[in-house]
Amino acid sequence: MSEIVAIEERLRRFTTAPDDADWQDVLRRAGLNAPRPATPPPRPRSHWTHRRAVVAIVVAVLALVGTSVAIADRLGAFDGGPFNGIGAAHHRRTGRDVIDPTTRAYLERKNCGLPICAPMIRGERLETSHRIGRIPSGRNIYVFTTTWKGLCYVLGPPPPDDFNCSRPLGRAHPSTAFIAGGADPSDDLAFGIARDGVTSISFELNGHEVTVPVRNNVWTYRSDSTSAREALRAASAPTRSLTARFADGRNVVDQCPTCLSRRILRRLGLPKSRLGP
Amino acid sequence: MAASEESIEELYRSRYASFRGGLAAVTGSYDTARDVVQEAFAQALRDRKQFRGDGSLAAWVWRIAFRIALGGRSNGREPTLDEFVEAAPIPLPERDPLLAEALKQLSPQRRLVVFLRYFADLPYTEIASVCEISEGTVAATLAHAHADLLRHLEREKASR
Repeated sequence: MSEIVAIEERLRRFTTAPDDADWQDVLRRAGLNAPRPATPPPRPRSHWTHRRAVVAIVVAVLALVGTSVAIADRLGAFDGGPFNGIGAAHHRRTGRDVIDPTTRAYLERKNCGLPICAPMIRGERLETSHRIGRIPSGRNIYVFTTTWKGLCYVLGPPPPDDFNCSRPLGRAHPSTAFIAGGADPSDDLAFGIARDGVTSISFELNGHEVTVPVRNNVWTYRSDSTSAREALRAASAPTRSLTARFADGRNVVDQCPTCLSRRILRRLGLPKSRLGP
Repeated sequence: MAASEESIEELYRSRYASFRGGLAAVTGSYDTARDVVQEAFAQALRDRKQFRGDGSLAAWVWRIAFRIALGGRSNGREPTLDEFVEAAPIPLPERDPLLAEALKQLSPQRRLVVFLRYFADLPYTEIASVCEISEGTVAATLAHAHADLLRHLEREKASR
């Protein structure tokens, strides 16, 4: 009997979950305290002609930009799409950029080939992979795109559950963030892919600000302390909110580096919890 | 009988950590579990008029949470809870690697009941309601799980 009590005690010690309840967030997700948008004033009819002209100009400019991008892309000026703003991924694809077979097999298994799959990786385009760096333990960081224009990243080899996809980097989304873990404690870290021009990333961990440098679009944070690693995983600090510092002195706060857009969530059938701000 | 917003909020405030712990065991990640908990309570608020009161409010919200955890995972057949549990890694195994290994060896159903009992801190009645089994089956499953865990840990101890 005492053995059962001991195993119960051991199970309870093993399973303490962090208590960071946030009822306001639940209300917001339920749409119960969302501020109602103000009703726009009716537009005078005379604006209509003017508006059509503006739309026509915008369409013409977009067409021009689109053509330029296509030409530049064909000329090899940049890879385009979700890799925009990631200088480390702007190189001609070589054998080093091809995801190793073990990691590739892992990704293909995750791509809904099993009952348990990862919907965010649906439509993966592994043939677009580029190796952009390594984490301290030596595993490669690969980026690749999806048919829904997602920016995906994976660590490997070996390939534990360390991959994710986000919306492409942009003005309001200067960096991705991910908490990676593995059998080797040195793999237990936070890392992200930052836009060109970002020099450091800061986030709050256990009430203190942590700042890490960005090198070749990649930042990593790890600690030798088990408690710090546990805190990092439990709080998932940088995946909640991070601040990117640019070389020109600008600071950009990303309130939800892992969020996706409403359109993408609908397409992938993911919960609204990953909706971007 | 609809659930009131106040009763859902009270459940959330008093049982948040249990929900997060239990769902971490199912999803394999405390981070994902947080999202699922938040989304489950948001859905419970939106659908509170659908609560019939034929079981506990907690069990109803647990079922919503499991549906969310299972949903959007596949474009084909939806996995069963057992399959989901079987495939999910044990969260934070470094806390007790031997125990984590022993948990992995349990059958999915036993592991699920252990998760609900210890990670989610649910009483037998609620586990029975969530899993749609009898309380007697819960007790028997837990007893078998304890025995399996002890046997595995003893074997590990002996081999060292």
